[in-house]
Amino acid sequence: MLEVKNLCKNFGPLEIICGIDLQVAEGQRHAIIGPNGAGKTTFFNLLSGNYKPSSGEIYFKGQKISNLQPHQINRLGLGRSFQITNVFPGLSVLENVRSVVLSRHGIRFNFFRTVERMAAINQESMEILEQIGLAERAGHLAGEMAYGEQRALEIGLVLASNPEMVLLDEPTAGMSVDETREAVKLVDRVTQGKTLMIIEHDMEVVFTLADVITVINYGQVLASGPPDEIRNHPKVKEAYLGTGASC
Amino acid sequence: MTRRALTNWLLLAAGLVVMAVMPALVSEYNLNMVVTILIYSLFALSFNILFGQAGLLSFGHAAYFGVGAYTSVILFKMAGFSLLPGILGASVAGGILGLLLGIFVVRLNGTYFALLTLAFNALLYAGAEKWRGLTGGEDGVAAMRPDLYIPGLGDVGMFSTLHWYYFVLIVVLLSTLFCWHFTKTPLGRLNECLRENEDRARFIGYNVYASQVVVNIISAFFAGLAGGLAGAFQEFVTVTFINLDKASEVLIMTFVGGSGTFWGPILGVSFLTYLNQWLSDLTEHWTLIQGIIFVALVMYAPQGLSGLLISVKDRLLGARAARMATAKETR
Amino acid sequence: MDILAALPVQALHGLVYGMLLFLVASGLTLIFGMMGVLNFAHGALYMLGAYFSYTVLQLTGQFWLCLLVAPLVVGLAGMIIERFFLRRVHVFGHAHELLLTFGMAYIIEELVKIFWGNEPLRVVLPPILAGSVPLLGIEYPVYRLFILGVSLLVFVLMFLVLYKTRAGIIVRAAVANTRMVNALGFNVPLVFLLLFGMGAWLAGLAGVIGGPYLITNPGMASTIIIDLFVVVVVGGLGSIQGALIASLLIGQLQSIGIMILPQFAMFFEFLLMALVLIFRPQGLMGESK
Repeated sequence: MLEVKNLCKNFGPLEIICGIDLQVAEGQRHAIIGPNGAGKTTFFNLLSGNYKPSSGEIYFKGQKISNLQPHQINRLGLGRSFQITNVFPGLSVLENVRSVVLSRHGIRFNFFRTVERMAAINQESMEILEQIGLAERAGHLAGEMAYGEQRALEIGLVLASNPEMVLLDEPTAGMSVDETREAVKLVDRVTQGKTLMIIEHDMEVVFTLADVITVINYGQVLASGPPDEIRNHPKVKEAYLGTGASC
Repeated sequence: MTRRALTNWLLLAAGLVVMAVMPALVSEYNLNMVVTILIYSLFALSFNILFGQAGLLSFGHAAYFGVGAYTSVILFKMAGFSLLPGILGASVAGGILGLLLGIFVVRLNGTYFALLTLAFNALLYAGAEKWRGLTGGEDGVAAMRPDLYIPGLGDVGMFSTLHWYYFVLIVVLLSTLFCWHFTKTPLGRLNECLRENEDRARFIGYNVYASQVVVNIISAFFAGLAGGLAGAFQEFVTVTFINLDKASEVLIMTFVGGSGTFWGPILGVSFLTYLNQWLSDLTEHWTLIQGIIFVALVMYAPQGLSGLLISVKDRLLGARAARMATAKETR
Repeated sequence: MDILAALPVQALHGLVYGMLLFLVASGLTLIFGMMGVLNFAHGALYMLGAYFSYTVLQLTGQFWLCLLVAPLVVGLAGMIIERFFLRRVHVFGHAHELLLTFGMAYIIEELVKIFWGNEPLRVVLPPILAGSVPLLGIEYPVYRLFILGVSLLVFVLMFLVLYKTRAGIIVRAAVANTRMVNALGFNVPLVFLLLFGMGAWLAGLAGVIGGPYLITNPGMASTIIIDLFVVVVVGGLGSIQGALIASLLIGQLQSIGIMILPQFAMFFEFLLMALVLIFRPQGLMGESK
């Protein structure tokens, strides 16, 4: 589904990403972990088209996407959430989701029909709200909701574009233990049948969800493999915990 | 229908009735003032499509207005256009200009957008001043208000204030209706999404650039329309229609009225027009007062008069229930 | 008129105007670079300098006193604007700050018209500055050379302060990275206040010396603000070197451009701005984001 070859990204003299090789199979749940500043979010930015690679290639479903615009990549079926909540604060929750649904249906330049009359669109939007548990909050302004609810909305926005592959950037950031548990259930539920790539710091989440874990440090892949392998990998232990510690 | 919606409909109906019988209620002088308010309300509405809705601050909206004004008068004078085609030509000219400038400036961030629109307006002003052959330079260009040709009815003379009033009223009402409807369409909603979070809109699959250009064209179209009406109204257009003062004027009127609601700009135009009228009898320094009001609002009530009225109404009516996204908080 | 023969003189005119423009633009670009706000009122501050100078001249008859006093008053006005007005709207964002400075410019222009009237004012220069000297084949006005001299002097002083003093280093650091400077413990609000005041002082000084040359009138703010914006865009925000290059460029564009194609001076400026924004949006000397 996703193939990354020798990806590099510099900002001037600063090399953030150097030589990442990665494959993600269809339906796989792939976790990206690594210390802060390792380049994980930059990696996501490269995948979703926010940044252009300095060198290397990215292939999605066999197609080269390294030089495409973010909206084009999204339309191909790659959806992405953000580490810092990135919704439309001044609009209602329903409107937030609806905007994605409209885009997905290709209704972008229409200035003749009113949105309220589009029954199918509204219904689909409400269904998504139900999936993420925000149906009751449909009329509230997104910017005025509790943090956990905003994170759920964040996931809802990704979901609404019905992507084949989902990139989630630290979906449980800043959440309490209970909230995290709910979030994991949510992620599990909504990503059934999709390919998932998730950046996470919470190891429990990672080990619960992931089929494959890739560890990134200093912009390079340190190790990649199934959870057990990573758990016992010496280099990983060193990078995260210092040698001698156990998971 | 909710009680709130019913109240709004009744208010609207009452307003329309008043507008319809206005000629019977006021003097000719005041009727002309209402015409001015109608035209500038349309101008301000077009400005707010960018400012309040898209979140794009333009310091040069008089570019479209002025080009519209010149176009209509020049078409009347030099090509013998009748009223409606001339006004239409003005709108189209505005729209084309909106395309030409839009493809270039909508990519820029807020401050640069403001700068470039200002510079472009200044450029057009300089052009209007110098291209005497076309625009008459400082002397301007004049043309009598042509008849309105209605198929089936023939020519309707527009010299009478009465006829002219109804013409402007209908044109502005229809345009306002379109602009209102626009805010409820997918593109109109997208426009507001772009104000809230442009980056996210990209990740959702929207071609932000193309959308903003289209919105710019629509805004410019109606500004040009307003300009065309203004030109036909005065029967004379000069560089004051396209100068930076005119651009400042529409900005101030829209902001004072409140850019966060649809009708805020209309309120701003009405309020300031009457205020200016009243103040200019009292003192010659009324523009200073206007400036002070503006700065005071920027600092203490950026949601403008319409926002203030809504706050007051909320407080009077009690509970501030969860509002739908139609009650936006203005920046 | 033989264009080639007139070229050196026109170039000199352009240099004079360019340096004057730099004087005003330097403050504007530093403020823009450091505070992120484009001070719409900068042209109005320049205008205030010219008008205050006129009044001081009326009262005392000493032009040298004007040079001293007027810019200080304008600098003070700038600090008042920053401290009591701009600072309050900072939380609302850049668009708001822009609207505020726009409103300030509007108010200042109206106040000027109220206190000094709508007509252009004539400033009587001291005899030393009022004459002309033979230069480049014509009688060149001494006053313009005076403008050039003052501008160059201020430029050198500015350069020395910015690059050789500790305060200057702080300012340059703050322009490059405000948050870092704050984290290092410097009183950023104070730096903002002083920088704004400094920018206003420069603009006021430019107004004092520019007024007699470019005519002291209520429209002088609007006239210069476009050129100022072009300089900031072309030079790159926050860059003094950029502002210098851009100002000199605009100066030449204005004087030689007007000579060759009088109808198109404004167009060339706009074209320049457009080209820069397309090909090098950070400005000639700005840093790419």
